[in-house]
Amino acid sequence: MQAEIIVGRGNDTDRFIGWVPTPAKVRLVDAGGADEAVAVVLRNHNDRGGQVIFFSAIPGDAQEELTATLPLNGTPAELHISGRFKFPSTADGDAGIDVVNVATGQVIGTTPLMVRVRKDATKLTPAERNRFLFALAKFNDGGRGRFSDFRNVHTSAGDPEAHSRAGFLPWHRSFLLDLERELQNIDPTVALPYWKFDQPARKLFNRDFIGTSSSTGTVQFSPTNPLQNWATDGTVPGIDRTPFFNTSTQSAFVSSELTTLGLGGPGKEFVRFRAMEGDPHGDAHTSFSGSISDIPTACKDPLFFLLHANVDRLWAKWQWLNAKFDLSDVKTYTFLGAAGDPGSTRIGHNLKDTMWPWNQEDVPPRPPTAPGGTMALSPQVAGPGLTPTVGSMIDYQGVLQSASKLGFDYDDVPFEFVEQR
Amino acid sequence: VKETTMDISQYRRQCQDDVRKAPKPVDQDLDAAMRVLRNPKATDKQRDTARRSIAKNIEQDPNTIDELLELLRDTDMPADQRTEILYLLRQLSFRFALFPAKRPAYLSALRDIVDDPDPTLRRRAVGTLAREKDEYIQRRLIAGLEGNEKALVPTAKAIQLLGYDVHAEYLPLLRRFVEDPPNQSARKEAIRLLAADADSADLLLEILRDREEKPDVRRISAIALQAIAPEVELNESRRIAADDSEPPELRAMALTSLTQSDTEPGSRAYTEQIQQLADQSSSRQVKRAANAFMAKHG
Repeated sequence: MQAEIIVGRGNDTDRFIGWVPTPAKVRLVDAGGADEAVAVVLRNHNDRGGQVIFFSAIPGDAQEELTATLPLNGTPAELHISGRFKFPSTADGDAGIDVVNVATGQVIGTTPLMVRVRKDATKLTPAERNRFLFALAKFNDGGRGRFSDFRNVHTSAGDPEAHSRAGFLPWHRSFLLDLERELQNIDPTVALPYWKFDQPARKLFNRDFIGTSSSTGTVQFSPTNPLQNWATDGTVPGIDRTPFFNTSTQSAFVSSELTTLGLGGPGKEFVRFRAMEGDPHGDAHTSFSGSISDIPTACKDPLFFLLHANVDRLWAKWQWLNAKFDLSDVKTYTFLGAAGDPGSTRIGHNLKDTMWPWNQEDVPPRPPTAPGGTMALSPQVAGPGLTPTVGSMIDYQGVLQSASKLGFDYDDVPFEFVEQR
Repeated sequence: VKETTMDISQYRRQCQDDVRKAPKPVDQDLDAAMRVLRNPKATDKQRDTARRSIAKNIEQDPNTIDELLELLRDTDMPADQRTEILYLLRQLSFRFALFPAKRPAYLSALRDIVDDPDPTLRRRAVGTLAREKDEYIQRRLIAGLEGNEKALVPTAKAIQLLGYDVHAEYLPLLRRFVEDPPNQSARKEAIRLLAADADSADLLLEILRDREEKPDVRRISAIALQAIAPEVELNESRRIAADDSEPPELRAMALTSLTQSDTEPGSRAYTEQIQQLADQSSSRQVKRAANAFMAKHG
């Protein structure tokens, strides 16, 4: 007797799941001589590593195990699965589902999975860290790779598209997502780690990970670190970065996570929360000298992406805590219309505006070039499409609109059905 | 069955409670905060509150930037307070929509303070201008390196900052610093910048092969060589990785370079040799790098 589990559309990459429920099917492919429908239990393959939970209906309660009855003719039973919050994977296939025949106790089907979420950089296993570093170094290819497009976007020319206005958070969410998808094209097990800048981070600021500074500020790497030949803007390798704080014992000069999450005030308003662009975001950048401390050069330093993943995580956490996913609510996002509408702000910062450079617009007031092309597509989710809008970045888990999900999660920001809050 | 859902509700309530109890950000009227910044007797805590408040409320009066630029230039003010103002201006560059319009004035103020007697202030101003590829500061850095005027920053730092925008006319000077450096730090920075000079491939290869050189200097040469002659660097990496007489640091680097490369790893005998390193090397770095190599090419 044999059962088959199909996650998502059954593509190879559909084995990567996060906290957001994903459709799945289980069916008999070999009835093994049974003469009536077979009762099965779906449960975790391992009790360590990534863990999975099951949903018989959406929205509905998560279950540790799920029972189903599989018809002999192969008609599938439909369900949803997700990673169990706080139990992410550390390696591909360390999570999985077993289909167990209730009558015999035999495992009649297994599928390996990975609960892949963005994690605190200091909590990565050495193998997770190395996979991320190899993918990033490969994408950069010593300054000759596609990373240069990302570098060329975050410059003085792109500054007004990305900073100092409401679109700061959505624009950078899109920027991170684009990079993460490129890295996943190299190694699908990789998710962007984040630098929790309000905590000391000895396990990040060392020669095996993001490097330590020499007396000149040139970052030093161990000989096994693939970032050692990191180069941008042509061919000169090296990163210039000196922290003003002790990275092992102190945080950057930023407000705490809890203070940041309170920035929306009692009304939980985005217009107030977005003050986090200054503190902690800007103050995390200026806690260093070197390229990361100036907007036009910040992206030369790979630390940029870990810093911004934390900025994005804080927004995601604020959204979850305060249920800010509704695109018609001005408390979710400040400017609901499009550029040119009454009360709108600069183009690129209104909810319905497309974002540069993914929209490939290069006539004023947009910058004169749009490096890098459109948004990298995901093999698993449709969102946000080739030309993301500001609004397409808001409901990133598909809390209100399932089609909106973008395919990433953070280790400490769960998914919750609105109906269950 | 409901346990998982309950866990998350409980987690949310706990987070919401923690956020409610968290300290609120400091806030002070913009004028009052500026008075504190100008007051030489203000305590560190008062100054920190003032700085955070100005950063937060700058949009109430954008001309405050001009005032800050004046204070930055004010040599009667203690250097540590002016350094703090420079720090505040940097913070504003990350949050203030009108900052790009003020950027020329900001850069002009930085040029005015690059000769300041305070080394910290000077170094930070020079660093920002170098990152902006500012021609004035590039000329000043070169003049300092050539000994035509007093150096603004230490030699190694000056060379490193020129790396933000290497021009062909710097190259003879860089080669000179490689041959006859004032210190090892300056030499290492000069070697690194030769990655911008295709004509330096032979020099870099010579340094990489020279066993009299320290391993970290040879490593920098390898990295620079990879930028201009990747095939040459790969061939050398193949040799170093398999050579038991080479230092472990260099062998680990060579193996990492080979792992990153898309080229063929070499003969079967070669990969067997690397497998032996993965199994038996007494160096943890070599072992780790050999394992990574075998994971990809084995």
